[in-house]
Amino acid sequence: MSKIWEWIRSRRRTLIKYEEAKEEFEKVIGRPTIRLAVELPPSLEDFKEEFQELEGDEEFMDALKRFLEKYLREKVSRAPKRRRRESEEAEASDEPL
Amino acid sequence: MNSASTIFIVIYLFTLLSAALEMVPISVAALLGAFLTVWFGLSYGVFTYEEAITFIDIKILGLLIGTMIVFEVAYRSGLFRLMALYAIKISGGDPRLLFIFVCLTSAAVSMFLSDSTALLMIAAAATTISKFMDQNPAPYVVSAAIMVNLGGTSTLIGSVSNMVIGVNSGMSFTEFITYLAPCEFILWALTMAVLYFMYKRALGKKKVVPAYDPWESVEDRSLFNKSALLLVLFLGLFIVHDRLNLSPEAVALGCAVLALSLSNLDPSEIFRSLDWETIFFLSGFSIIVKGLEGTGLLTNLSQTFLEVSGNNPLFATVILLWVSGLASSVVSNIAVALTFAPMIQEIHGFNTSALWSALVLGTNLGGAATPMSGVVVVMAMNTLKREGATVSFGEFTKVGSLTTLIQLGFSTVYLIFRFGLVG
Repeated sequence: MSKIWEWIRSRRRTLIKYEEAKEEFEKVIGRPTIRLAVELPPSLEDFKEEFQELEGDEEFMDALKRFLEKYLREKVSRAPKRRRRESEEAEASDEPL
Repeated sequence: MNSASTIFIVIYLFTLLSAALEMVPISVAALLGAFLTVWFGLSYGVFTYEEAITFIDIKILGLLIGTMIVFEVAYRSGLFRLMALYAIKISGGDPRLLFIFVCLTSAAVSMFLSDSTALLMIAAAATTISKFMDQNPAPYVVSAAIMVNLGGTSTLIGSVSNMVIGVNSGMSFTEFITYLAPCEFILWALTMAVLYFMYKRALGKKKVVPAYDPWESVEDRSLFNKSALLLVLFLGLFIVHDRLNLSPEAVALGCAVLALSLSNLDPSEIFRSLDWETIFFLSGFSIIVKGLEGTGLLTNLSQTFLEVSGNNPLFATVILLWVSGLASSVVSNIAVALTFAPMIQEIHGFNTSALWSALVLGTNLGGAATPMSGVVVVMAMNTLKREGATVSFGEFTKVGSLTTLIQLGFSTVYLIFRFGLVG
């Protein structure tokens, strides 16, 4: 029975419409996703194959998630300071001479 | 039996087998079978080339393509997504309510969309919300597959097999609804009750659903309004098409042209989204069945069927319901409808409305008995796999075959009383 099951699962059914529909629902009720196209850096031309394999590399995805979390948190925490500085500068420039 | 008949039967069976096992894509299997049918038919003088090119029923194709275009435009407007989002919102995070709404929305949406599109949309909604609620999406997706298969049983445009039966029987949109809608709605309730009973322990606890506005999902309000109006017009015209002397395919194609003109969507994108696999399968398999018909084999089968049922409308209806139902759980229900339709056309002497209704129910209900029964179940299993949830072959078969047997059992009783087949 498990062989039949594996056979059914192996039937290729395109799930593109599913992914598209899921993205639409996630925009409204779930966690949003972003899509990026990353180009192989010129200094890594010799690692074309390894680079392309990163798409399915779970370790890489985990590292990327950790980096994203750290980067986004730092960026958000820097933002109020920057905004305050910008508004102070704007106020200073508005003062009459 | 002459050699031409033998060859046509072999082609027919080989096509069914290769389509069921997906040795090649089902459209390719049907087109290959059609090519061989025409080749041998011409060689044996069973039909002429001029006859062969009329084998594809342009009425069914017009109805199918027109309906697909109208619903594709409606799908892109976000109309059905809005329905699903409201269903989730109304459930308020209660898994029991969510389960009921997922089932109802699946059946309702599949009355309009093709089964595969409806399933993928509902599965996407169900997996998104169940992930948020830390629940297993399997009960929702499996139930959605079974309800999507059931939805649309009572309408002429609810499934491709219904379109084939509608055009061959001459049943109008309203006749379809009059004969079958009460049965379909009771089947919805029965099936939902069985599914709920089987899955109630797997449904988790109540969780707070994030606050959201379902209308956020509608990007183009103008397109949404136009699509909603168009759907009302489409359904309205179907309800009165026989009184206006309009054929169903004329209504479908007319509304499709209107949808393309008003939507401002890129027509090439709409055309690309049509289910060409089904369109080519239907065309190819029509030719194969016409080849069989040309040999007189289907007339003989029709007579044998009447003899077996003792010329009794009750037995004939019940046999047809169960044979078509069980056959549809193994092979494509479009193929079953195309094969049985000419057989019923050969039957004279008693009211055939009960037979046509039995064929509609049989071909629709058999599609979710096992994971091998239809594309909608395979898609449900694949989406679950994508989400890291698994349902075993036996697990699905237990749920699918039980609901199918209950559905066929109730339909038997319904047909007997609806058409007064006793006494």
